[in-house]
Amino acid sequence: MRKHSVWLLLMAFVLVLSACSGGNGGNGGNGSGTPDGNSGSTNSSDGGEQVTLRVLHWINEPVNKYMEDVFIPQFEEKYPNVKIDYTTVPSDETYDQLMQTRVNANDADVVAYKSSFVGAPQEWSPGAADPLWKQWADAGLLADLTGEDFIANYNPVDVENAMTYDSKVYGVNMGKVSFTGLFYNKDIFAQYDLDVPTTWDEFMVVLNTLNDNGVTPIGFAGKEVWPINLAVQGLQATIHEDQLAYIKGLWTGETKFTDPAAIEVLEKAQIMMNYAQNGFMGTDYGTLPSLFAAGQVAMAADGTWNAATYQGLNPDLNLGYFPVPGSSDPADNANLAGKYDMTWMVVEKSSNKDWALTFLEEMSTRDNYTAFVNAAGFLPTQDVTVDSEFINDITPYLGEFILAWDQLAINRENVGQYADGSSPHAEFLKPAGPLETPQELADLSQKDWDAAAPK
Amino acid sequence: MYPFGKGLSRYVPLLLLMIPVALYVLLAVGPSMVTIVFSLTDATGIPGTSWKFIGFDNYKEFFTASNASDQVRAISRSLYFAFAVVLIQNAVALLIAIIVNKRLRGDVFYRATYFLPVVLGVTVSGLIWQMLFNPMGGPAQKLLNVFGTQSNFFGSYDIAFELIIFVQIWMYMGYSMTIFLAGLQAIPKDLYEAGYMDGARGWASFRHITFPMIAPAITVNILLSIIGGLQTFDIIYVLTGGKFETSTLAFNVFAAAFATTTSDFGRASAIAMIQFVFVFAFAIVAMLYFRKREVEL
Amino acid sequence: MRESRTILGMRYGIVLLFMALYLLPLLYLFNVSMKTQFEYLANPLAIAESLRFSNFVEAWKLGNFAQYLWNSVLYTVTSTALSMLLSLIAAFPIARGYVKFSSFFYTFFLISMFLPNPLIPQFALMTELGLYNTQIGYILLRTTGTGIAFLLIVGYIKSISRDLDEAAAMDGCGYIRYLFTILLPLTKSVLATGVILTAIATWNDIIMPVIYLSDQSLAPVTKGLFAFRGQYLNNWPLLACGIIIVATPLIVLYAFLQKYIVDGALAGAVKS
Repeated sequence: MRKHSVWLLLMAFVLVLSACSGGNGGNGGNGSGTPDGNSGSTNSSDGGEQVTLRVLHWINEPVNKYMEDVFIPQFEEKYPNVKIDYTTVPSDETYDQLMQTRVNANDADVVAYKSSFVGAPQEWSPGAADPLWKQWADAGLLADLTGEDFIANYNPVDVENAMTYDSKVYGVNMGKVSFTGLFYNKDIFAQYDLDVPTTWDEFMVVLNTLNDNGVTPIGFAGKEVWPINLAVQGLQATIHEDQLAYIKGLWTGETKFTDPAAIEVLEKAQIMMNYAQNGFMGTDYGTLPSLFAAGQVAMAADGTWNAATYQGLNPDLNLGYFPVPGSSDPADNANLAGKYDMTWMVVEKSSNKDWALTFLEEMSTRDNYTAFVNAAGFLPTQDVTVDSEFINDITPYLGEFILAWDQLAINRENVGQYADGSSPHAEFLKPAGPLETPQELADLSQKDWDAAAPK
Repeated sequence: MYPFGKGLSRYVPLLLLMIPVALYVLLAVGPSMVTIVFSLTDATGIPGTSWKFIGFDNYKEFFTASNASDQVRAISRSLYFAFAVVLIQNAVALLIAIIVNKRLRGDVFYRATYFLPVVLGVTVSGLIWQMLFNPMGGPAQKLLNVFGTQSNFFGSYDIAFELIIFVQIWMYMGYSMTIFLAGLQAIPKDLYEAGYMDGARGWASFRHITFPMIAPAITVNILLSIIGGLQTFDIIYVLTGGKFETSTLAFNVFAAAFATTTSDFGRASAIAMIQFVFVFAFAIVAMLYFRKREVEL
Repeated sequence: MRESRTILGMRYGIVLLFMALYLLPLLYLFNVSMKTQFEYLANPLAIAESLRFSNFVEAWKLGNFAQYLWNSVLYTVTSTALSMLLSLIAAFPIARGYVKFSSFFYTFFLISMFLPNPLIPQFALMTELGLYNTQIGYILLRTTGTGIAFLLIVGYIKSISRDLDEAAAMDGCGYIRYLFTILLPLTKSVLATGVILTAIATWNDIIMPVIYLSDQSLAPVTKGLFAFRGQYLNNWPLLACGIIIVATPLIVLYAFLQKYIVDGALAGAVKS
């Protein structure tokens, strides 16, 4: 009998513990324990009630490091009653899922969105579905930031282009990035006496030279699929004469997935994949930088946001970035395309809304903002200068800021897998996927697209 | 009948029973039933958005929308998964059970080892296999290289799904084996001796003695693996996240509700209902068939 | 009924082949965990140059595993304990027919296995109740008096003679006291089985934590390990250490409780 009472005691003990820590978890992690009215409104008074500010972001090591080691401690020191709960997860579906469940459950205060406010249906895209941010904005889940003082810190043109929807400001965009180029290892290029290619033919020479010398030319990360299509968007940006006109044409039927330019994009994508490392479809996005930094590949298809990660892995690394030269005319290949990257949004119904605004205000001060974009490798949306050698290196390619394909494309609803999402689908092509020829893929894409035409 | 007192105390058992019943209704059966209602609406899961009944539109969309073929492929993958697991897992498990059943040096250790993945769970097991099938110089890749070929494994449209099935079977083979083993050990030795007298050897002895005697174990194993096969998706979540043509109906319920950027609760519920039809149908068919056979034998 | 040497050899051959399939992955895992990242990249298959246990220290520090392990223990112990309590409460009257429609309840408890996936309304409900992303909410979801333990206990109680109930009642023992002081000790063996099955299922659950415990500080080891993977995918030796950190307690526990766990799983499967 004594043994049993010990067990019972143990159980009771654990139950009590769980009740306690459950309570903590509930208050700390959730905030729904506090009535909406009585928190946050004491913005200026320090001390007072303890607040946990829930910030969601994805994994990007240099940025996370800046947030965790510099910004958050600094913020918490300035506002001692605020504790920032900074959650980071991988930037693939894991983040979409986290962001969605948290916002839907009203369990977040500040949320990082992966792009600016693009993809809303246009008059030329009848029946297109609303992107998530628009559904949120329309449902009143996003705080209206119009007229907040800190918005004035940002360039008016960027505020207009990237942070405004329906003439209201719903987010703070932290900067622009490009991803239609390739990182290249300057030392490897020098070793084989290679120059940065400015035409497709020169590019082929580079690929073949490297290959002949036993160096894997390009590193692709195929496991998450999207990273392969970054470089393919580089081909689109340089091969299509006018991407937006082409996309509009798809809706009206004036252009097709099977147009020569589109086929050319896929053909060249296939060629590039044939120069990728073995097993590239099983290579994770997280592994790509270490391959490049270890010198196992001469180039890597990745976005400029990751430059700091590459450099962090190997400080001696001599890296540069150039646009994928899809065209045979150097003038067409002279510019990088990209997008407005992460946007901070405030959850309207958050019980800590005022603190969330304070968070953005602090984030937007000139010093903090500058430190942030330096860590992130973004092109600033405030009028500040960055002291990154890498950014200065690619500035010539950024004469004017061109939006990449996935920022322009608007898709039909319920479209099949060969045309869905917002990026091209080179992953279905050999050697990545099952389809032999670009023509097959283009036909399937067109078929899926036509089938989804609004009735 | 009820020995513990009369009057009000007669209701103590019922009252206590109501606690688990309430929990069960609230968290399991209730939500299951509400899924039917959800599937007839355009609810999105985004708070503050209005929703309305839209009849069978979600179902219609599932089967007739322009991407219906993607959905149909998910259905066929679900069935493929369930049947492959049922057949291979049980065949292998039965074989091993028969081998281990007879005296063998270290049999306890073997049994324990085969069962280990069940204890380790899907996350640990999944990550271990991800490491083995790492296309960047993992052991499986090295092996393929010896034969002059290579693969992207979990990143391959051709074999990712088969590899998932393999890992699933690897994980649960030991479980099925344990069940078979219990069935085998319950067979009285004198049955075999009697059979031996009647001239039953090897295959005949298996066919006429072993097989009928473990029929209940087979029923259990097949039922468990069909239903499990149609409902599991954690292994897919861990290994590929549904990419590379590896999503099944069960995975798509989760994905449509939580893992895409559309968060479509109505649609996800409709998929859950379609999945339910399959689970229910197969469970009934399997149950009837095997019960009947058990009687016949 | 003696078997030939060839057959015996074949039996050993097959068993050992499968042993390799189950043990080599673990050995490889351990080997990788002892390497430096450099060693691994240079040759993933080579035997580690030295035993480098400092890798574990690093993984332990980076991975926040202490927190995850504690969370897992908490979820597993509480939900298992509660589940056993509820199962006993539910099973006894149903097994004995002390409530009306007891066979209806029995079937009713079984059907949820075949019913539509409750995932979505369940999520809506949890959000509505403010239990989303809370430990209590998750424990509640994992607590059930109608699962495998319930089935086992019903079966077992049926094998206990009714005379015992009557004798105890004669002596003036009340229902609740009887349930917990006399019946509970008797059902110890099936309860142990129930505990093992429920605990394994809870400990290894990944999907529900992913949905309901999005706060990383509330994550159990499964989700924690998965997140660790997301963060250190480029560093397999570190990741291997993470996997081993999570797996070792399970393997050690399993080594001691092996017989009970396997027998328990068996009893559970046959009952359901």
